Amino acid sequence: MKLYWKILLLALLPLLLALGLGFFRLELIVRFQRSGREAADELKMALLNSRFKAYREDRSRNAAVLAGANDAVRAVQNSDTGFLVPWGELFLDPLRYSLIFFTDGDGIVLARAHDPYRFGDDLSGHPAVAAALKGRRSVGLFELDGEPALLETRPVMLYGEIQVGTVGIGAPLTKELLAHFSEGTGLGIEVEIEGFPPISMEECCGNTERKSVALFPSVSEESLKFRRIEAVFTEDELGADLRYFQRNLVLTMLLLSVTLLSGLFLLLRRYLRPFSLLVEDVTLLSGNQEDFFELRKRLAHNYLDTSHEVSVIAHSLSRLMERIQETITLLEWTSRTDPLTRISNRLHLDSMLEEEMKASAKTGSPLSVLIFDLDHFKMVNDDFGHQAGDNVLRRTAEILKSLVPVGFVGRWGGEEFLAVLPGAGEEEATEFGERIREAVESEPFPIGRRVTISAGVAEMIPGDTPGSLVGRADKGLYEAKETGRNRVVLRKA
Amino acid sequence: MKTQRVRPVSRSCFRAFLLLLVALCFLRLSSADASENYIFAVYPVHDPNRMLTAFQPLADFIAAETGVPVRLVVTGNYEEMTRRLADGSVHFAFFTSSGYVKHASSIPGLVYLATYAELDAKGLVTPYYHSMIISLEEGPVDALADLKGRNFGFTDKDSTSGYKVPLTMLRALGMEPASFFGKLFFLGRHDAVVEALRAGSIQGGAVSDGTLHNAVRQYGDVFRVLAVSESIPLDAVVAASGVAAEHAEAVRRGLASLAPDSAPMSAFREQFGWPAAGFVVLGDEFYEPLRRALEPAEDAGEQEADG
Repeated sequence: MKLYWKILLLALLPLLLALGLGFFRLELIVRFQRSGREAADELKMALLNSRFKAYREDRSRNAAVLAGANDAVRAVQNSDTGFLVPWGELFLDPLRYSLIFFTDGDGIVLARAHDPYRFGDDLSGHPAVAAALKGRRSVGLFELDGEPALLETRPVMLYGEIQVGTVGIGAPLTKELLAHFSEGTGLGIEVEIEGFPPISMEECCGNTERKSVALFPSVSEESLKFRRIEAVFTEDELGADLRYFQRNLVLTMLLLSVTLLSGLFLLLRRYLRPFSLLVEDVTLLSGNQEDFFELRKRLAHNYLDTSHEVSVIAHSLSRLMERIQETITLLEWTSRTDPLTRISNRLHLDSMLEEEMKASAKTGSPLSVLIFDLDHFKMVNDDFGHQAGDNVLRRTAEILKSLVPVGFVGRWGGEEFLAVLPGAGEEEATEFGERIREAVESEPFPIGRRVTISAGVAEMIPGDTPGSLVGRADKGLYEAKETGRNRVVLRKA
Repeated sequence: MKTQRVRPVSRSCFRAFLLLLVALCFLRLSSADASENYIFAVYPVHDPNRMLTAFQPLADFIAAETGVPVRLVVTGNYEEMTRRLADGSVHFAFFTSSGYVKHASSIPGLVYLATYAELDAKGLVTPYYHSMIISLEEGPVDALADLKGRNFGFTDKDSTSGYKVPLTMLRALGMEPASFFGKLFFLGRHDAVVEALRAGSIQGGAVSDGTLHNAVRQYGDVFRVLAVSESIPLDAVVAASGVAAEHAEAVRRGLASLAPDSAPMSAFREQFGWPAAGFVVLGDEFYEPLRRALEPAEDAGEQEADG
C-alpha cells in the first residue's frame, strides 16, 4: 500500500469516528423531540375530542331550551314566525349554530333564525325532521340546503305531551367549522362523506400523519355516514427543522467528507507521490532492474522542478550516482587503455576484435586487421633512451588514431599496434596500412632520425577466430620485416 | 238657647271640617302624582328602547303643556296599560286604534284627547290609514281567490291593520283564513310580511298602506294590491280620569296645535319612519266604525289564536 493511502486511512478513521458520534447524538435529540411531539399530539387529540363532546352537549342543551320554552312552544303552535325568528336568533352563533329552524307538526318550516324571510317550505321528507316528527331526537350528519350539516332535531311538545312541531339546530360542516374545533391545537381535520367532496381545513397535507377522530361517536340511524374523519397532524416546525437539519447535516457531512478526503488524497498524493516514486526507483536500482545511468538521469531530471524534500534526496542520490559513474568510467577507461600511448590496450583490443568479428560474421560485411611494428625500435631505445622511445611510441599511436577511418587501434604489445577496420576489405586495409607507413616515415620525430614501420594485413574469412585472423596479419608483418621493412604486406588466407 | 245655638254651629262646623278634610284628601289623592309627575305610557309596538327615544319628545311636550314633569314608561302589553290607567298609576297613554277600541270602554273615566295623524301619499294630513292584502306583481296571484291553498302572512294578532282588519275583510268575503289558505304565518312586523313575500315564503300578506308605500319606495312597484280595507283611525292619546281637567284640556289643545316639523313628530319620523303630521281632535265617535268592525273579528281572532 502506498504511503499516501496509509496516511489517508489514518486521517479517515478519526474523522469517521467523529462523524458517527455526531450523527448518533443528533439521532438521540430527534428521537427525544419525536417522543415529546407524540405526547403533545395525544393531548391535542384529547382536546379535540373534548371539544367535539362539548359541542354535542352544548348543542343538545340549546335544542332543549329552544324547544322547551313555553312561549316558543306556543309560537310553534300558532305559527308565530315573528316570535320564533328572534327567539332562534338568540342562539345563533356564526360558526357553531348557524342553522336554527322550526317546523310545525306537518314539517312545514315556520321560521329559520338564520334566514328570517325563508320559510313555508316542507321539510317533512328530511330524515332528521321526519324522525323528530315521530317524536324522536335525531342527531348526526344530514344534508340541508344542499350541503352536509351537523344537525340535531327534536320534537316541540306542548305540555310535554302534545307534539306541535320540531326544532333543528346545527351548522354546515365547513372547513371554517373544522378550523373552529381545532383552533389552537395545530391540527387539521379532514372529513369525507359519501356523495360530497372531501372537506379539509388544510390545503396541504403532504408528509403528515392522520388519526381517526370521533366527531359523532353515535349518530342516529337516518344520519349520513362519515366515510372518514381524521385529524391531520401537520409536521411541527421544530421536528421539521430538526429532521431538515439532520438530513442536511448528513448530506453536508458526506459532501464535506468526500471533498475533504479527495482534497486530502490529492494533497497527500501530491506531496508523497515523489517519495513513492523515489522508493520505486531505488527499489529498481537495488534489484538491478534499472540501468544505472538512466536512473541517474531520471533522478536528476524528474525531481528537478519540485521544491519537495524528496528533491533534495533525489538530487543527492543523483550526485552520488554521478560520482560513482565517473569512478566506474575512469576504471573502465583505465582497464582498456594503454597508459603510455592512451589508446586501447591488448585486453580491450581482444574483446573489441571479438565483438567486431561477431558483428561482421552476422552481417557479412568485410573486416580486416593490421598489425604494425616499428622498425628497429630497439635501436631507438638504445641510442636515444627509453624516454625517446616512449615518445616515438606515443607519436606513432597519435598518427594511427588520427588516420584510422573506421574502427579502432590499440597497442598490441611493445612497439606493435593493432588496427581493426570493420567494413574494410583487404585492399582498403592495405591502402590504410600504406597511409600509416608513409605518415610514420614522413613524421619528423624529435630524435632526428627517420623512423619506419612495417605492417601485416589480413581480411577475415569465414571460420576465422581472432587468433587465426591476427595470426595471418602477423605472418604478413613477418614477411614485411623479412623483405626489408618499411613495408605493408597483405597475407591472404 | 245659647247652648242650643252653639251646638248646631259646632256640629255644622265639625261637619264642614270633615267635608273639607274629605275634599282635601280627595284632592290630595287625585293630584298626588300630578303634583310630582305624570306617567305617560306607550305599548311596545317596536323595540322598547326605540319606543322611549321616539316618544320622549312627546312626553316632554305634555310636561310643558301641563307644567308637571312627565315620566315615560313602556308597558308590557295592553292589559298592563289598561290596568294602570284604571288604577291611576298611568296618566296619559298612547293607544293603537285597535287597543283603544278594545280597552277604552273598560277604563272608568278615560278621556279621549286626540288622534294621531299622518301625511298620506298626496301630502294631506289624515288621521286614518288602510289595511291592504297584497301579493307580488310577478307572482301567480292576481286576485284574492288565487290565494286559496297558498301561504299567507299576517303581522301579529294584536295588529289592527296587520291582522284584525284584514281578518274581518277576508271573513266578509267568505274566506276563513284557517281553511282558505294553505298555511298561515304570523311574522311580527309589517316589513317582515313584505320581505317574506319577496323571498317567496308567502304568496299573500296583510300590511298597512304606509308599509306598502315604504316598500314601493324601496323596491319599486312590484306589488299587487288584492284588497283594501275601510279607513282605520290612527292611534289615540288618552288621559286617565285622575288627570286634572285643565291639564287634559291643555294637552288636547297642545296636541292639536303640533306641527309636522315639531320635535315629537320629527322623532316619530326618525325612529319609525312614520309620515307623522300631528294630531287632530275627532272624539271617541271617530273610532265607532272600527269598534263595530272588530267586535266579531276579535272573537274569531281569538278562536284562531287558540288554534
